Amino acid sequence: MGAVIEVDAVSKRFGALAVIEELSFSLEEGEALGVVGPNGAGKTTTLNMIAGDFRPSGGSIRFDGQDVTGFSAYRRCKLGIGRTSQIPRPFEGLTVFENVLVGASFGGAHRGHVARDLAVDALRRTGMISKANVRAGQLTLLERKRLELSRALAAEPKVLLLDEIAGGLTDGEVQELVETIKSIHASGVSVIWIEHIVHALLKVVDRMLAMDCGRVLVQGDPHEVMASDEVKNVYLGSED
Amino acid sequence: MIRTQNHVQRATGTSKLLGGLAALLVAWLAVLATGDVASTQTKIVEMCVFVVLASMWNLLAGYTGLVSIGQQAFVGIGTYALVVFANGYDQDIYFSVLPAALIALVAAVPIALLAFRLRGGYFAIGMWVIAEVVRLLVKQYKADPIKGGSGTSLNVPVSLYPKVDRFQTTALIALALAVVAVSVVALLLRSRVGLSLQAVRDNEAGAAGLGVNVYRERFFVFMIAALFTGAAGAVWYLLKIRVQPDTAFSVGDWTAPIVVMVVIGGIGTVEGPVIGAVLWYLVRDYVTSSDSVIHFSDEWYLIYTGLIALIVALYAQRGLWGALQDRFPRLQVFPIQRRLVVGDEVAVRGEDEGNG
Repeated sequence: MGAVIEVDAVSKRFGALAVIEELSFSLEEGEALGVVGPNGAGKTTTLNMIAGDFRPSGGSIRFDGQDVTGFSAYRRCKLGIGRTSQIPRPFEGLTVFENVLVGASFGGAHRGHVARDLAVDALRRTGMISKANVRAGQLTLLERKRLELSRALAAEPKVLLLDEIAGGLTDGEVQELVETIKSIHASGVSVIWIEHIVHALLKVVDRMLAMDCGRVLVQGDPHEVMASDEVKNVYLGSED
Repeated sequence: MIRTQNHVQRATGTSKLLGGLAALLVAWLAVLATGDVASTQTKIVEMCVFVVLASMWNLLAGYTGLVSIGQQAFVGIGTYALVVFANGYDQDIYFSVLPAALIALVAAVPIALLAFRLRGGYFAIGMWVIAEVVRLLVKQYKADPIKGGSGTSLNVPVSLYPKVDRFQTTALIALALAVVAVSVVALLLRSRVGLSLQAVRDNEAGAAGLGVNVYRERFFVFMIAALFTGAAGAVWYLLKIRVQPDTAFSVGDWTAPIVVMVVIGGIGTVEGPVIGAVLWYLVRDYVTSSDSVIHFSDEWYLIYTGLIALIVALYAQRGLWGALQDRFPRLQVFPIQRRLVVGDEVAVRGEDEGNG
Protein backbone atom coordinates (compact mmCIF):
# COMPACT_ATOMS: atom_id res chain seq x y z
CA MET A 1 0.00 0.00 0.00
CA GLY A 2 1.30 3.44 -0.95
CA ALA A 3 1.00 6.84 0.59
CA VAL A 4 -2.38 8.48 0.04
CA ILE A 5 -1.27 11.90 1.25
CA GLU A 6 2.29 13.17 0.83
CA VAL A 7 3.22 16.52 2.32
CA ASP A 8 6.58 17.42 0.81
CA ALA A 9 8.71 20.29 2.22
CA VAL A 10 5.63 22.48 2.68
CA SER A 11 6.07 25.99 4.07
CA LYS A 12 3.48 28.60 4.91
CA ARG A 13 4.18 32.22 5.68
CA PHE A 14 1.63 34.84 6.62
CA GLY A 15 3.55 38.01 5.85
CA ALA A 16 6.78 37.83 7.83
CA LEU A 17 5.44 35.09 10.12
CA ALA A 18 6.56 31.61 9.14
CA VAL A 19 3.90 29.22 10.47
CA ILE A 20 5.08 26.06 8.70
CA GLU A 21 8.68 25.43 7.71
CA GLU A 22 9.72 22.66 5.31
CA LEU A 23 7.18 20.25 6.75
CA SER A 24 7.21 16.72 5.32
CA PHE A 25 5.16 13.69 6.30
CA SER A 26 2.89 11.17 4.68
CA LEU A 27 -0.25 9.19 5.36
CA GLU A 28 -0.41 5.58 4.24
CA GLU A 29 -3.57 4.20 2.70
CA GLY A 30 -5.91 2.92 5.41
CA GLU A 31 -3.84 4.50 8.16
CA ALA A 32 -5.07 6.66 11.04
CA LEU A 33 -2.57 9.35 11.95
CA GLY A 34 -2.88 11.43 15.09
CA VAL A 35 -1.39 14.91 15.21
CA VAL A 36 -0.56 16.59 18.52
CA GLY A 37 1.33 19.72 19.42
CA PRO A 38 0.95 22.93 21.42
CA ASN A 39 -1.24 25.80 20.23
CA GLY A 40 0.39 27.63 17.35
CA ALA A 41 2.37 24.57 16.23
CA GLY A 42 0.75 24.86 12.79
CA LYS A 43 -1.53 21.81 12.97
CA THR A 44 -4.70 23.47 11.66
CA THR A 45 -2.71 25.40 9.04
CA THR A 46 -1.32 22.08 7.77
CA LEU A 47 -4.78 20.55 7.62
CA ASN A 48 -6.17 23.60 5.84
CA MET A 49 -3.43 23.32 3.22
CA ILE A 50 -4.18 19.64 2.65
CA ALA A 51 -7.88 20.47 2.31
CA GLY A 52 -7.13 23.37 -0.03
CA ASP A 53 -8.42 26.29 2.03
CA PHE A 54 -5.23 28.08 1.10
CA ARG A 55 -2.06 27.29 -0.77
CA PRO A 56 1.38 26.68 0.68
CA SER A 57 4.08 29.31 0.20
CA GLY A 58 6.41 26.52 -0.84
CA GLY A 59 6.54 22.75 -1.26
CA SER A 60 3.93 20.38 -2.65
CA ILE A 61 1.02 18.22 -1.55
CA ARG A 62 0.18 14.98 -3.34
CA PHE A 63 -3.00 12.97 -3.06
CA ASP A 64 -2.96 9.43 -4.45
CA GLY A 65 0.24 10.29 -6.29
CA GLN A 66 -1.31 13.35 -7.98
CA ASP A 67 0.05 16.83 -7.25
CA VAL A 68 -2.92 18.76 -5.84
CA THR A 69 -0.98 21.79 -4.55
CA GLY A 70 -2.73 24.18 -6.95
CA PHE A 71 -6.21 22.64 -6.63
CA SER A 72 -8.98 24.59 -4.90
CA ALA A 73 -10.90 23.14 -1.96
CA TYR A 74 -13.92 21.95 -3.95
CA ARG A 75 -11.77 19.94 -6.38
CA ARG A 76 -9.89 18.26 -3.55
CA CYS A 77 -13.19 17.33 -1.93
CA LYS A 78 -14.38 15.79 -5.19
CA LEU A 79 -11.11 13.83 -5.44
CA GLY A 80 -11.70 12.34 -1.99
CA ILE A 81 -10.27 14.64 0.67
CA GLY A 82 -12.96 15.18 3.29
CA ARG A 83 -12.58 17.39 6.33
CA THR A 84 -14.26 18.60 9.44
CA SER A 85 -13.60 22.06 10.74
CA GLN A 86 -12.41 22.99 14.22
CA ILE A 87 -15.20 25.54 14.42
CA PRO A 88 -18.17 23.77 12.80
CA ARG A 89 -19.46 25.52 9.70
CA PRO A 90 -23.02 24.28 9.35
CA PHE A 91 -25.44 25.68 6.77
CA GLU A 92 -27.72 27.06 9.46
CA GLY A 93 -30.71 27.80 7.26
CA LEU A 94 -30.78 24.24 5.91
CA THR A 95 -31.91 21.12 7.71
CA VAL A 96 -29.42 18.50 8.87
CA PHE A 97 -30.45 16.26 5.98
CA GLU A 98 -29.99 19.07 3.45
CA ASN A 99 -26.56 19.85 4.93
CA VAL A 100 -25.47 16.27 4.41
CA LEU A 101 -27.09 16.17 0.97
CA VAL A 102 -24.72 18.98 -0.11
CA GLY A 103 -21.79 16.67 0.58
CA ALA A 104 -23.40 13.75 -1.26
CA SER A 105 -24.51 15.87 -4.23
CA PHE A 106 -21.36 17.89 -4.83
CA GLY A 107 -18.44 16.20 -3.09
CA GLY A 108 -19.83 12.80 -4.02
CA ALA A 109 -21.27 14.11 -7.31
CA HIS A 110 -24.42 12.03 -7.01
CA ARG A 111 -28.00 12.84 -7.93
CA GLY A 112 -31.52 11.90 -6.92
CA HIS A 113 -32.05 8.81 -4.82
CA VAL A 114 -28.35 7.84 -4.86
CA ALA A 115 -27.42 11.13 -3.19
CA ARG A 116 -30.35 10.80 -0.81
CA ASP A 117 -29.45 7.27 0.27
CA LEU A 118 -25.80 8.24 0.68
CA ALA A 119 -26.89 11.11 2.94
CA VAL A 120 -29.18 8.82 4.93
CA ASP A 121 -26.34 6.35 5.36
CA ALA A 122 -23.95 9.09 6.55
CA LEU A 123 -26.61 10.32 9.00
CA ARG A 124 -27.02 6.80 10.40
CA ARG A 125 -23.29 6.21 10.77
CA THR A 126 -22.90 9.40 12.78
CA GLY A 127 -26.06 8.97 14.84
CA MET A 128 -27.73 12.04 13.35
CA ILE A 129 -30.66 10.36 11.59
CA SER A 130 -33.16 11.37 14.27
CA LYS A 131 -32.21 15.03 13.72
CA ALA A 132 -32.55 14.84 9.92
CA ASN A 133 -35.28 17.47 9.63
CA VAL A 134 -33.98 19.87 12.29
CA ARG A 135 -32.53 23.16 11.10
CA ALA A 136 -28.76 23.05 11.55
CA GLY A 137 -28.87 26.41 13.33
CA GLN A 138 -30.68 24.77 16.24
CA LEU A 139 -28.11 22.05 16.95
CA THR A 140 -25.98 21.65 20.09
CA LEU A 141 -22.17 21.62 19.88
CA LEU A 142 -21.95 17.81 19.84
CA GLU A 143 -24.60 17.65 17.12
CA ARG A 144 -22.76 20.30 15.11
CA LYS A 145 -19.58 18.24 15.32
CA ARG A 146 -21.44 15.12 14.30
CA LEU A 147 -22.97 17.05 11.42
CA GLU A 148 -19.47 18.06 10.25
CA LEU A 149 -18.51 14.40 10.25
CA SER A 150 -21.74 13.33 8.59
CA ARG A 151 -21.39 15.86 5.74
CA ALA A 152 -17.78 14.92 5.15
CA LEU A 153 -18.70 11.22 5.03
CA ALA A 154 -21.51 11.79 2.54
CA ALA A 155 -18.91 13.16 0.12
CA GLU A 156 -17.35 9.65 0.12
CA PRO A 157 -13.83 10.61 1.21
CA LYS A 158 -10.78 8.38 0.87
CA VAL A 159 -9.07 10.56 3.45
CA LEU A 160 -10.80 12.27 6.33
CA LEU A 161 -9.15 15.25 8.03
CA LEU A 162 -10.47 15.83 11.53
CA ASP A 163 -9.64 19.11 13.26
CA GLU A 164 -10.20 18.94 17.03
CA ILE A 165 -13.52 17.27 16.58
CA ALA A 166 -13.60 16.18 20.24
CA GLY A 167 -12.72 19.62 21.62
CA GLY A 168 -15.31 21.10 23.97
CA LEU A 169 -17.23 17.85 24.46
CA THR A 170 -17.90 15.96 27.71
CA ASP A 171 -16.11 12.65 28.38
CA GLY A 172 -19.21 10.65 27.48
CA GLU A 173 -19.61 12.56 24.24
CA VAL A 174 -15.94 12.07 23.37
CA GLN A 175 -16.38 8.33 23.94
CA GLU A 176 -19.33 8.21 21.53
CA LEU A 177 -17.41 10.17 18.93
CA VAL A 178 -14.39 7.87 19.28
CA GLU A 179 -16.58 4.86 18.51
CA THR A 180 -17.99 6.60 15.42
CA ILE A 181 -14.53 7.54 14.14
CA LYS A 182 -13.25 4.01 14.82
CA SER A 183 -16.02 2.55 12.68
CA ILE A 184 -15.35 5.06 9.88
CA HIS A 185 -11.67 4.14 9.95
CA ALA A 186 -12.55 0.44 10.02
CA SER A 187 -14.55 0.92 6.82
CA GLY A 188 -11.30 1.77 5.01
CA VAL A 189 -11.12 5.56 5.25
CA SER A 190 -7.66 6.97 5.99
CA VAL A 191 -7.70 9.52 8.79
CA ILE A 192 -5.59 12.46 9.93
CA TRP A 193 -6.85 13.58 13.31
CA ILE A 194 -5.63 16.69 15.13
CA GLU A 195 -6.63 16.56 18.77
CA HIS A 196 -5.66 17.85 22.20
CA ILE A 197 -7.58 15.08 23.95
CA VAL A 198 -4.80 12.51 23.76
CA HIS A 199 -6.64 9.56 25.33
CA ALA A 200 -9.23 9.82 22.56
CA LEU A 201 -6.52 9.80 19.91
CA LEU A 202 -4.79 6.79 21.45
CA LYS A 203 -7.96 4.73 21.04
CA VAL A 204 -8.03 5.28 17.29
CA VAL A 205 -4.70 6.14 15.69
CA ASP A 206 -2.03 3.79 14.33
CA ARG A 207 0.72 6.40 14.33
CA MET A 208 1.29 9.69 16.11
CA LEU A 209 2.98 12.83 14.84
CA ALA A 210 3.97 15.60 17.23
CA MET A 211 4.45 19.10 15.81
CA ASP A 212 6.04 22.23 17.20
CA CYS A 213 6.81 25.56 15.55
CA GLY A 214 5.74 24.35 12.12
CA ARG A 215 8.01 21.30 12.14
CA VAL A 216 7.73 17.59 12.84
CA LEU A 217 9.06 17.07 16.36
CA VAL A 218 8.78 13.31 16.51
CA GLN A 219 6.60 10.63 14.92
CA GLY A 220 5.99 6.90 15.34
CA ASP A 221 4.16 4.57 17.72
CA PRO A 222 1.48 6.64 19.50
CA HIS A 223 2.42 5.60 23.04
CA GLU A 224 6.15 5.99 22.45
CA VAL A 225 5.65 9.44 20.93
CA MET A 226 3.59 10.59 23.87
CA ALA A 227 6.22 9.23 26.30
CA SER A 228 9.14 10.77 24.43
CA ASP A 229 11.29 13.50 25.96
CA GLU A 230 10.68 15.82 23.01
CA VAL A 231 6.93 15.80 23.55
CA LYS A 232 7.28 16.12 27.33
CA ASN A 233 9.57 19.12 26.89
CA VAL A 234 7.16 20.87 24.56
CA TYR A 235 4.18 20.36 26.82
CA LEU A 236 5.80 20.68 30.25
CA GLY A 237 8.92 22.71 29.51
CA SER A 238 12.43 21.22 29.68
CA GLU A 239 14.38 20.88 32.90
CA ASP A 240 17.62 22.33 31.57
CA MET B 1 -42.86 -5.23 9.33
CA ILE B 2 -43.42 -3.12 6.26
CA ARG B 3 -40.26 -1.63 4.74
CA THR B 4 -40.90 1.53 2.79
CA GLN B 5 -38.34 3.43 0.73
CA ASN B 6 -36.71 6.54 2.13
CA HIS B 7 -38.20 9.51 0.41
CA VAL B 8 -38.02 13.27 0.35
CA GLN B 9 -41.09 15.42 0.86
CA ARG B 10 -41.21 18.82 -0.86
CA ALA B 11 -44.58 20.59 -0.98
CA THR B 12 -46.52 21.11 2.25
CA GLY B 13 -50.16 21.94 2.85
CA THR B 14 -49.28 25.58 3.50
CA SER B 15 -47.19 25.87 0.37
CA LYS B 16 -50.03 24.44 -1.74
CA LEU B 17 -52.56 26.84 -0.18
CA LEU B 18 -50.35 29.93 -0.42
CA GLY B 19 -49.19 28.95 -3.92
CA GLY B 20 -52.82 28.75 -4.97
CA LEU B 21 -53.53 32.17 -3.48
CA ALA B 22 -50.50 33.61 -5.32
CA ALA B 23 -51.84 32.18 -8.58
CA LEU B 24 -55.23 33.83 -7.91
CA LEU B 25 -53.49 37.15 -7.24
CA VAL B 26 -51.62 36.91 -10.55
CA ALA B 27 -54.89 36.13 -12.36
CA TRP B 28 -56.52 39.19 -10.76
CA LEU B 29 -53.59 41.39 -11.82
CA ALA B 30 -53.88 39.98 -15.36
CA VAL B 31 -57.54 41.04 -15.44
CA LEU B 32 -56.56 44.54 -14.24
CA ALA B 33 -53.77 44.67 -16.83
CA THR B 34 -56.23 44.04 -19.67
CA GLY B 35 -58.54 46.82 -18.44
CA ASP B 36 -58.41 50.39 -19.68
CA VAL B 37 -57.26 52.28 -16.57
CA ALA B 38 -53.83 53.64 -17.52
CA SER B 39 -52.89 54.49 -13.91
CA THR B 40 -53.58 50.92 -12.78
CA GLN B 41 -51.52 49.53 -15.63
CA THR B 42 -48.69 51.90 -14.78
CA LYS B 43 -48.77 50.64 -11.19
CA ILE B 44 -48.71 47.03 -12.34
CA VAL B 45 -45.71 47.68 -14.58
CA GLU B 46 -43.75 49.57 -11.93
CA MET B 47 -44.51 47.02 -9.23
CA CYS B 48 -43.73 44.01 -11.43
CA VAL B 49 -40.47 45.53 -12.64
CA PHE B 50 -39.36 46.03 -9.05
CA VAL B 51 -40.46 42.51 -8.10
CA VAL B 52 -38.14 41.24 -10.85
CA LEU B 53 -35.27 43.53 -9.86
CA ALA B 54 -35.60 42.73 -6.15
CA SER B 55 -35.82 38.96 -6.76
CA MET B 56 -32.69 39.06 -8.90
CA TRP B 57 -30.73 41.25 -6.50
CA ASN B 58 -31.69 38.88 -3.70
CA LEU B 59 -30.54 35.88 -5.74
CA LEU B 60 -27.14 37.56 -5.99
CA ALA B 61 -26.77 39.09 -2.54
CA GLY B 62 -28.93 36.75 -0.52
CA TYR B 63 -27.66 33.46 -1.89
CA THR B 64 -24.18 33.91 -3.30
CA GLY B 65 -22.94 36.87 -1.26
CA LEU B 66 -22.55 39.04 -4.37
CA VAL B 67 -23.69 42.37 -2.96
CA SER B 68 -23.80 44.47 -6.11
CA ILE B 69 -24.39 48.22 -6.03
CA GLY B 70 -24.17 48.25 -9.81
CA GLN B 71 -27.23 46.38 -11.05
CA GLN B 72 -28.37 49.64 -12.67
CA ALA B 73 -25.71 48.81 -15.28
CA PHE B 74 -27.94 46.01 -16.55
CA VAL B 75 -31.12 48.11 -16.29
CA GLY B 76 -29.40 50.70 -18.47
CA ILE B 77 -27.89 48.22 -20.90
CA GLY B 78 -31.28 46.50 -21.35
CA THR B 79 -32.93 49.88 -21.85
CA TYR B 80 -30.44 51.14 -24.42
CA ALA B 81 -30.42 47.80 -26.24
CA LEU B 82 -34.21 48.20 -26.52
CA VAL B 83 -33.71 51.70 -27.98
CA VAL B 84 -31.15 50.39 -30.48
CA PHE B 85 -33.37 47.52 -31.66
CA ALA B 86 -36.64 49.50 -31.71
CA ASN B 87 -35.42 52.91 -32.95
CA GLY B 88 -32.24 51.92 -34.75
CA TYR B 89 -33.40 48.73 -36.44
CA ASP B 90 -37.15 49.47 -36.54
CA GLN B 91 -38.04 46.28 -34.69
CA ASP B 92 -41.32 45.75 -32.86
CA ILE B 93 -40.89 47.37 -29.42
CA TYR B 94 -42.33 44.39 -27.52
CA PHE B 95 -40.26 41.87 -29.41
CA SER B 96 -37.15 44.01 -28.80
CA VAL B 97 -37.31 43.24 -25.07
CA LEU B 98 -35.98 39.76 -25.82
CA PRO B 99 -32.75 40.75 -27.62
CA ALA B 100 -32.34 43.59 -25.09
CA ALA B 101 -32.29 41.05 -22.26
CA LEU B 102 -29.84 38.88 -24.19
CA ILE B 103 -27.53 41.87 -24.73
CA ALA B 104 -27.56 42.47 -20.96
CA LEU B 105 -26.62 38.80 -20.51
CA VAL B 106 -23.75 39.04 -22.99
CA ALA B 107 -22.50 42.27 -21.36
CA ALA B 108 -22.53 40.48 -18.00
CA VAL B 109 -19.76 38.07 -19.10
CA PRO B 110 -16.87 40.60 -19.25
CA ILE B 111 -18.34 42.51 -16.29
CA ALA B 112 -18.31 39.31 -14.20
CA LEU B 113 -14.77 38.40 -15.27
CA LEU B 114 -13.65 41.84 -14.15
CA ALA B 115 -15.76 42.30 -11.01
CA PHE B 116 -15.29 38.74 -9.69
CA ARG B 117 -11.64 39.55 -9.08
CA LEU B 118 -12.91 41.70 -6.23
CA ARG B 119 -14.44 40.45 -2.99
CA GLY B 120 -17.02 41.73 -0.51
CA GLY B 121 -17.17 45.49 -0.22
CA TYR B 122 -14.69 45.92 -3.07
CA PHE B 123 -16.99 43.97 -5.37
CA ALA B 124 -19.96 46.13 -4.32
CA ILE B 125 -18.13 49.36 -5.09
CA GLY B 126 -16.44 47.88 -8.16
CA MET B 127 -19.87 47.09 -9.64
CA TRP B 128 -20.98 50.67 -8.97
CA VAL B 129 -17.88 51.97 -10.74
CA ILE B 130 -18.55 49.68 -13.72
CA ALA B 131 -22.13 50.97 -13.94
CA GLU B 132 -20.86 54.56 -13.88
CA VAL B 133 -18.33 53.79 -16.62
CA VAL B 134 -21.06 52.32 -18.83
CA ARG B 135 -23.25 55.37 -18.17
CA LEU B 136 -20.45 57.75 -19.16
CA LEU B 137 -19.69 55.72 -22.29
CA VAL B 138 -23.34 55.87 -23.33
CA LYS B 139 -23.32 59.64 -22.77
CA GLN B 140 -20.36 59.94 -25.12
CA TYR B 141 -22.25 58.23 -27.95
CA LYS B 142 -23.93 61.30 -29.42
CA ALA B 143 -25.12 59.75 -32.70
CA ASP B 144 -28.47 58.12 -33.42
CA PRO B 145 -30.21 56.22 -31.94
CA ILE B 146 -28.64 56.85 -28.51
CA LYS B 147 -28.17 60.62 -28.73
CA GLY B 148 -25.75 60.99 -25.81
CA GLY B 149 -26.54 62.57 -22.47
CA SER B 150 -29.61 64.51 -23.59
CA GLY B 151 -31.32 61.16 -24.18
CA THR B 152 -33.93 60.01 -26.61
CA SER B 153 -37.45 58.63 -26.78
CA LEU B 154 -38.59 55.19 -27.75
CA ASN B 155 -40.23 55.47 -31.15
CA VAL B 156 -43.91 54.65 -30.55
CA PRO B 157 -46.05 56.20 -33.30
CA VAL B 158 -49.71 56.11 -32.21
CA SER B 159 -50.66 54.55 -35.53
CA LEU B 160 -48.55 51.49 -34.70
CA TYR B 161 -48.84 51.51 -30.91
CA PRO B 162 -52.11 53.09 -29.72
CA LYS B 163 -51.64 54.23 -26.11
CA VAL B 164 -54.37 52.06 -24.56
CA ASP B 165 -53.02 49.07 -26.42
CA ARG B 166 -49.42 49.80 -25.40
CA PHE B 167 -50.31 50.17 -21.72
CA GLN B 168 -52.25 46.89 -21.79
CA THR B 169 -49.53 44.96 -23.58
CA THR B 170 -46.75 46.38 -21.39
CA ALA B 171 -48.66 45.58 -18.20
CA LEU B 172 -49.17 42.00 -19.38
CA ILE B 173 -45.52 41.63 -20.38
CA ALA B 174 -44.40 43.05 -17.01
CA LEU B 175 -46.69 40.67 -15.15
CA ALA B 176 -45.49 37.71 -17.21
CA LEU B 177 -41.87 38.74 -16.64
CA ALA B 178 -42.42 38.93 -12.89
CA VAL B 179 -44.09 35.50 -12.82
CA VAL B 180 -41.31 33.96 -14.91
CA ALA B 181 -38.54 35.65 -12.88
CA VAL B 182 -39.92 34.58 -9.50
CA SER B 183 -40.62 31.08 -10.83
CA VAL B 184 -37.08 30.81 -12.17
CA VAL B 185 -35.71 31.84 -8.77
CA ALA B 186 -37.98 29.37 -6.96
CA LEU B 187 -37.26 26.48 -9.37
CA LEU B 188 -33.55 27.21 -9.28
CA LEU B 189 -33.49 27.15 -5.49
CA ARG B 190 -35.55 23.97 -5.46
CA SER B 191 -33.00 22.26 -7.69
CA ARG B 192 -29.66 20.66 -6.91
CA VAL B 193 -27.92 23.94 -7.77
CA GLY B 194 -30.27 25.72 -5.38
CA LEU B 195 -29.15 23.47 -2.55
CA SER B 196 -25.57 24.57 -3.13
CA LEU B 197 -26.63 28.23 -3.41
CA GLN B 198 -28.25 28.01 0.01
CA ALA B 199 -25.11 26.34 1.32
CA VAL B 200 -22.97 29.16 -0.09
CA ARG B 201 -25.36 31.68 1.48
CA ASP B 202 -24.88 30.11 4.92
CA ASN B 203 -21.17 29.29 4.82
CA GLU B 204 -19.03 29.79 1.75
CA ALA B 205 -15.92 27.99 3.00
CA GLY B 206 -18.06 25.12 4.27
CA ALA B 207 -19.71 24.76 0.86
CA ALA B 208 -16.38 24.76 -0.97
CA GLY B 209 -15.09 22.14 1.47
CA LEU B 210 -17.99 19.87 0.49
CA GLY B 211 -17.31 20.06 -3.23
CA VAL B 212 -19.31 23.13 -4.28
CA ASN B 213 -17.65 25.17 -7.04
CA VAL B 214 -18.53 28.57 -5.59
CA TYR B 215 -17.07 30.58 -8.50
CA ARG B 216 -19.09 28.71 -11.10
CA GLU B 217 -22.32 29.02 -9.10
CA ARG B 218 -21.75 32.77 -8.70
CA PHE B 219 -21.05 33.23 -12.38
CA PHE B 220 -24.21 31.35 -13.33
CA VAL B 221 -26.38 33.34 -10.94
CA PHE B 222 -24.83 36.62 -12.09
CA MET B 223 -25.83 35.78 -15.68
CA ILE B 224 -29.42 35.00 -14.74
CA ALA B 225 -29.66 38.23 -12.75
CA ALA B 226 -28.27 40.25 -15.69
CA LEU B 227 -30.73 38.67 -18.13
CA PHE B 228 -33.80 39.47 -16.03
CA THR B 229 -32.54 42.85 -14.82
CA GLY B 230 -31.96 43.88 -18.46
CA ALA B 231 -35.44 42.66 -19.42
CA ALA B 232 -36.99 44.56 -16.51
CA GLY B 233 -35.25 47.79 -17.58
CA ALA B 234 -36.52 47.37 -21.14
CA VAL B 235 -40.10 46.71 -20.01
CA TRP B 236 -40.07 49.81 -17.78
CA TYR B 237 -39.21 52.00 -20.76
CA LEU B 238 -41.89 50.44 -22.99
CA LEU B 239 -44.17 52.46 -20.73
CA LYS B 240 -41.99 55.46 -19.83
CA ILE B 241 -40.74 56.08 -23.43
CA ARG B 242 -38.28 58.85 -22.47
CA VAL B 243 -34.76 57.44 -21.98
CA GLN B 244 -31.72 59.25 -20.52
CA PRO B 245 -28.41 57.74 -19.40
CA ASP B 246 -28.55 59.56 -16.06
CA THR B 247 -31.85 57.94 -15.13
CA ALA B 248 -31.44 54.54 -16.82
CA PHE B 249 -28.08 54.06 -15.07
CA SER B 250 -29.07 55.76 -11.80
CA VAL B 251 -28.05 54.03 -8.58
CA GLY B 252 -30.65 56.06 -6.65
CA ASP B 253 -33.53 55.17 -8.95
CA TRP B 254 -32.76 51.47 -9.17
CA THR B 255 -30.30 49.74 -6.89
CA ALA B 256 -30.93 51.85 -3.76
CA PRO B 257 -34.68 51.09 -3.56
CA ILE B 258 -34.03 47.46 -4.54
CA VAL B 259 -31.68 46.98 -1.58
CA VAL B 260 -34.26 48.57 0.74
CA MET B 261 -37.03 46.29 -0.59
CA VAL B 262 -34.99 43.11 -0.28
CA VAL B 263 -33.69 43.90 3.21
CA ILE B 264 -37.14 44.81 4.55
CA GLY B 265 -38.87 41.88 2.83
CA GLY B 266 -36.30 39.30 3.87
CA ILE B 267 -32.95 38.67 2.22
CA GLY B 268 -32.10 35.07 1.41
CA THR B 269 -35.71 33.98 1.01
CA VAL B 270 -37.70 33.67 -2.24
CA GLU B 271 -40.84 35.27 -0.87
CA GLY B 272 -39.19 38.17 1.00
CA PRO B 273 -38.11 40.31 -1.96
CA VAL B 274 -41.49 39.91 -3.66
CA ILE B 275 -43.30 40.99 -0.52
CA GLY B 276 -40.75 43.75 0.07
CA ALA B 277 -41.15 45.13 -3.45
CA VAL B 278 -44.97 45.01 -3.40
CA LEU B 279 -45.19 46.53 0.08
CA TRP B 280 -42.62 49.21 -0.66
CA TYR B 281 -44.44 50.12 -3.82
CA LEU B 282 -47.96 50.14 -2.34
CA VAL B 283 -46.94 52.24 0.67
CA ARG B 284 -45.05 54.66 -1.56
CA ASP B 285 -48.04 54.93 -3.84
CA TYR B 286 -50.17 55.87 -0.83
CA VAL B 287 -47.86 58.33 0.95
CA THR B 288 -46.76 60.19 -2.16
CA SER B 289 -50.29 60.84 -3.43
CA SER B 290 -51.43 64.35 -2.52
CA ASP B 291 -54.73 63.33 -0.87
CA SER B 292 -53.26 60.89 1.67
CA VAL B 293 -53.32 61.62 5.41
CA ILE B 294 -49.57 61.08 5.82
CA HIS B 295 -47.77 62.68 2.93
CA PHE B 296 -44.07 62.49 1.96
CA SER B 297 -42.13 63.39 -1.12
CA ASP B 298 -40.40 60.57 -3.03
CA GLU B 299 -37.07 61.59 -1.52
CA TRP B 300 -38.33 61.50 2.06
CA TYR B 301 -39.98 58.15 1.40
CA LEU B 302 -36.64 56.68 0.32
CA ILE B 303 -34.96 58.21 3.39
CA TYR B 304 -37.56 56.77 5.78
CA THR B 305 -37.62 53.32 4.19
CA GLY B 306 -33.82 53.37 4.13
CA LEU B 307 -33.86 53.95 7.88
CA ILE B 308 -36.31 51.09 8.35
CA ALA B 309 -34.05 48.86 6.26
CA LEU B 310 -31.11 49.84 8.44
CA ILE B 311 -33.01 48.88 11.58
CA VAL B 312 -34.12 45.59 10.01
CA ALA B 313 -30.54 44.84 8.94
CA LEU B 314 -29.37 45.43 12.51
CA TYR B 315 -32.09 43.70 14.51
CA ALA B 316 -34.09 41.38 12.24
CA GLN B 317 -31.69 40.23 9.59
CA ARG B 318 -34.07 37.87 7.86
CA GLY B 319 -36.58 40.67 7.33
CA LEU B 320 -40.34 40.54 7.40
CA TRP B 321 -40.68 37.12 5.82
CA GLY B 322 -37.88 35.68 7.94
CA ALA B 323 -39.57 36.97 11.10
CA LEU B 324 -42.85 35.40 10.01
CA GLN B 325 -41.09 32.10 9.27
CA ASP B 326 -39.48 32.15 12.70
CA ARG B 327 -42.94 32.37 14.23
CA PHE B 328 -44.57 29.92 11.83
CA PRO B 329 -41.85 27.48 10.76
CA ARG B 330 -44.01 25.72 8.20
CA LEU B 331 -44.84 28.96 6.40
CA GLN B 332 -43.71 28.88 2.77
CA VAL B 333 -45.15 29.73 -0.62
CA PHE B 334 -42.48 28.01 -2.68
CA PRO B 335 -41.63 24.51 -1.46
CA ILE B 336 -37.84 24.66 -1.51
CA GLN B 337 -36.96 22.63 1.55
CA ARG B 338 -36.51 18.88 1.58
CA ARG B 339 -38.07 16.90 4.38
CA LEU B 340 -36.58 13.47 4.78
CA VAL B 341 -38.98 10.64 5.52
CA VAL B 342 -36.94 7.63 6.56
CA GLY B 343 -38.60 4.48 5.31
CA ASP B 344 -37.66 1.80 7.83
CA GLU B 345 -37.90 4.13 10.81
CA VAL B 346 -41.60 4.39 10.15
CA ALA B 347 -41.70 0.61 10.09
CA VAL B 348 -39.82 0.36 13.40
CA ARG B 349 -42.32 2.69 15.01
CA GLY B 350 -45.10 0.43 13.70
CA GLU B 351 -43.43 -2.54 15.39
CA ASP B 352 -43.19 -0.71 18.71
CA GLU B 353 -46.89 0.03 18.61
CA GLY B 354 -47.54 -3.64 17.96
CA ASN B 355 -45.57 -4.62 21.06
CA GLY B 356 -47.24 -2.01 23.24
